[in-house]
Amino acid sequence: MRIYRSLFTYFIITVIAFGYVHQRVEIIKTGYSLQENRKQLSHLVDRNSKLMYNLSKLESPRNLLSSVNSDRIVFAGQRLHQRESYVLSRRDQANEEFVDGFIGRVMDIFTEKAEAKSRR
Amino acid sequence: MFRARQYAIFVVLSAIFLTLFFRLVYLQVFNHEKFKEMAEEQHNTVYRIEPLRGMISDRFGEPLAINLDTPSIYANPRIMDDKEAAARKLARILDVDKGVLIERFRRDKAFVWVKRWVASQAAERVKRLKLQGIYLVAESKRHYPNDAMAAHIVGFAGLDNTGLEGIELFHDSKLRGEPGFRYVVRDARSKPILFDEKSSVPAQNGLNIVLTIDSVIQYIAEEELGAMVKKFNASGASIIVMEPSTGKILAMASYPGYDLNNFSGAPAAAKKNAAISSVFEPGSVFKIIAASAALNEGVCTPDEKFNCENGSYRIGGRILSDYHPYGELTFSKVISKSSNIGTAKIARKLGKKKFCEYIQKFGFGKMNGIDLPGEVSGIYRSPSGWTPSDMTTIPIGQGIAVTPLQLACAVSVIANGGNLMRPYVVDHITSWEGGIVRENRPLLRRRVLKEETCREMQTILADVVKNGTGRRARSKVYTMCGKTGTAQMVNKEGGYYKNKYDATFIGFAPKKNPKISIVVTARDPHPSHFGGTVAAPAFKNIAEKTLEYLETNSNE
Repeated sequence: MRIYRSLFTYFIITVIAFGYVHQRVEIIKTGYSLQENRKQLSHLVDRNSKLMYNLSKLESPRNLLSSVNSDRIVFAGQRLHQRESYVLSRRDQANEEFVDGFIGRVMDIFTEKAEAKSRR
Repeated sequence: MFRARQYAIFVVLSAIFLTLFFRLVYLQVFNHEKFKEMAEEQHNTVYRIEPLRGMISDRFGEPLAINLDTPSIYANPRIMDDKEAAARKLARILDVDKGVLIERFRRDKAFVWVKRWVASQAAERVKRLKLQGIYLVAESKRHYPNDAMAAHIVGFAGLDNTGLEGIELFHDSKLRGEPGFRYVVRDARSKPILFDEKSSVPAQNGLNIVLTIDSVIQYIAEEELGAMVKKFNASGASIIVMEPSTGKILAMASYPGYDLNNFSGAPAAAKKNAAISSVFEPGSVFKIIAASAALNEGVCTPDEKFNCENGSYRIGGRILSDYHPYGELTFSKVISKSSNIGTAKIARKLGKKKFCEYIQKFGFGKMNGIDLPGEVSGIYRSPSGWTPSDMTTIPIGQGIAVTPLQLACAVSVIANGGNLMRPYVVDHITSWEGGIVRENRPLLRRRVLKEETCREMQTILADVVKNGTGRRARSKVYTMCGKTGTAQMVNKEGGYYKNKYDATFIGFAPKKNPKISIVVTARDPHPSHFGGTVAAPAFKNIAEKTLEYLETNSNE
């Protein structure tokens, strides 16, 4: 009877030991899967920030305005041009360029010049 | 027989249990400390958590500097097998010198960098090689979505995310943040299993900085700067757009510029923020100082007449000449026609003591205290060392050197009714969660002029644009006020260059309620070199576009 009791005790101890080891293994497995999820999260966060970066780059006033400029679209300032349209027509643009170019050069001739100059 | 077997099993099991028991006692009791130490060393480690560098944005939150994870490649030379082959393959993909890599791989170290911040395609190719002892790690890298825009203000951060220029340098301690620590349990292959969150110290990310800069106005200024430089072949140029009532810098651009995402390739001269660190003789734009001082002190009136000696006048041992000869001109016309002789006479009437006092009151010869690195004070010689001729040359902007920022602050005094404001580019600083940590408010440095004087000066400066040397700054919609300046460039070997000039235009608009003051400078423009021809059109374009953008009506 004493032998059975001892064997039973050994059995219980072994089961407890296995249970403990199993629990440790499960903790480590969960740890690994947590790590994997963390990794995935940081990957997704990184992808998100990269997409946000690209979006902000595309949406930036500099990008939008330079695209508009490269397409030679000139905004018709409501106060400057007194027009209902938001974009200046090609003809109006040509007129503006003429005024700025030719008229500007003519104005240069008639504009008084000055220089800070003194000599001994 | 059965009993004997039972005993045999019992003895064997008892022997196994006893062996295990004594082994455990040996390990856990007698060698407890030793093995505990060994296990802790092997399983537990501390990871440093790098903080995220604070972001920089414009006044409406448009990002100007952000962080992105970028792959870096490192090696453990101790476990690499064929070092030469690895170096050859990596050198080809990463565009690195093979010899350098071989030298690094021969070191007896467990960690050497192969290349930091590589393109993701190159990192993917390296990953596919599956080289032993070669690893990839994600590192946070600074990115600038607008490339070269506002480069001189934003600045850049180098390797290890340390600020090296601009706001990145000036507010480095705030942007950098504090690193944290994380206690990690790892397996036999050093792979982390668990984080001990309780004893970990989280990283404190850097503070975010919101600038006073407006991306749209900055773009307008940079476009006009580029067009002016191209048209007049200038070797350098700068533009400042400021809110005169507060001192907020809305745009600041300098030429040459550089790409913030490729700063290592830019020459040192391009990294210099000319708007605050280059000095030049201002020429005729400086006449507004003598004129406003004389009006403020009541020694002259706008209608008082001055004999401009038909363009040539010997005074203080020098011959002063005007570009166009004039006879008698009123005080207002002396400024609008930019007569050197008339201005020298106004300054003489004011007197040296008062004139010097106003130069200092306007902030010349001292730094304005802008929150950017590299600001210089200009060159203002002590009045005790002035020669008699200095009282004729300094009022016309010769013999004194100023920065474009000093001119912006000075012209803002006239625009805002007489107050010298501290210029600033940081509007507020926020925590990572969005709470405001510090807010910059307009700071009045001193009162310089009476309001009445400012009104008179505004009328004179509007006349400069309407009838004087600044006609090219005239707008159909807005009443512009300004002053042209054309000064010979100082030769470092002594004297002046005969055919090199600094062309400048300073002003503000609209006249009635100035919303912006602008300074445009161009260094050595040609073929034309006059401030009225080179800088005034750029001023007009920037002012018109900016006021339109700010939804300012002409009658405001």
